[in-house]
Amino acid sequence: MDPQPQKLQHRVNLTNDQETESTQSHIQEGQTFETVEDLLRHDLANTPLPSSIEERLRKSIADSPTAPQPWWRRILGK
Amino acid sequence: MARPAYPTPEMDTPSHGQSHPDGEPSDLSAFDAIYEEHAKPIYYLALRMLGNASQAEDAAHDVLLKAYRNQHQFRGESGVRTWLYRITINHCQNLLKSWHHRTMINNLEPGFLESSPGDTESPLRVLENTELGERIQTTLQALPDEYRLLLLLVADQQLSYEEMGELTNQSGDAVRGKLHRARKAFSAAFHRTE
Repeated sequence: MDPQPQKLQHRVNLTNDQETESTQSHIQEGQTFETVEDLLRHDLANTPLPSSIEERLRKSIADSPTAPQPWWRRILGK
Repeated sequence: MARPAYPTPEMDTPSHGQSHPDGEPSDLSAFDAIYEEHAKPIYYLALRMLGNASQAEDAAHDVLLKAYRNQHQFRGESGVRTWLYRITINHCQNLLKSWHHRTMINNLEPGFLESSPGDTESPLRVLENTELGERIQTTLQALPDEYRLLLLLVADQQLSYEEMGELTNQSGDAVRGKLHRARKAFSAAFHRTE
């Protein structure tokens, strides 16, 4: 694999009133990624798949017209 | 020898009585397995290519429906993921070329560029991932189209360089060389978004 020129870092920018004791250590750590691929994989893992896609897909499939079997399939009974 | 259409254990036991336009039996349970494994990467690829969650949702639906209707055309010369990505890339590239997309994307507010966070995440984690997602989208959009696509494909560990070359009409060696430059360009652009 090609060498990565620099690590990729990301820190959240919180205002004081958003900071809490429980989150302080996390804020200081931020996120560091060794490679672009790692960064994009993290992004993929944290990108939720909208459930509406599956619902719409099931409806679209159910609404799809079903064609009759071809003649050879009817004759052969398969 | 061609591999079977979908290498899942259920594929030889059609269970829902649907059929394709040409009369081939379709297997919804096999397609469920396809959905489970591939829907999220398809959606993510569309999201980062189009930069718009709503359009990516439409694109993922359209791609998967097209795949369902045309699953008999899959001959197994390439992997299922490669086949699905080819449909996704063509679909998104057509959208990007269309007048509709150019008009719609220019009228959207910045918030529309990101997908909705999951309900179970902590507020800090949601903020962190949302900000990171925005930076990634901004960075990707600053890159040439080819670099953007190659980086999105190489992040998928299921694809080989040869398969990436197949999807982008070039050799695996050409992909390797361009990826080196694409990574550098991404890193430089990412640091500029800080």
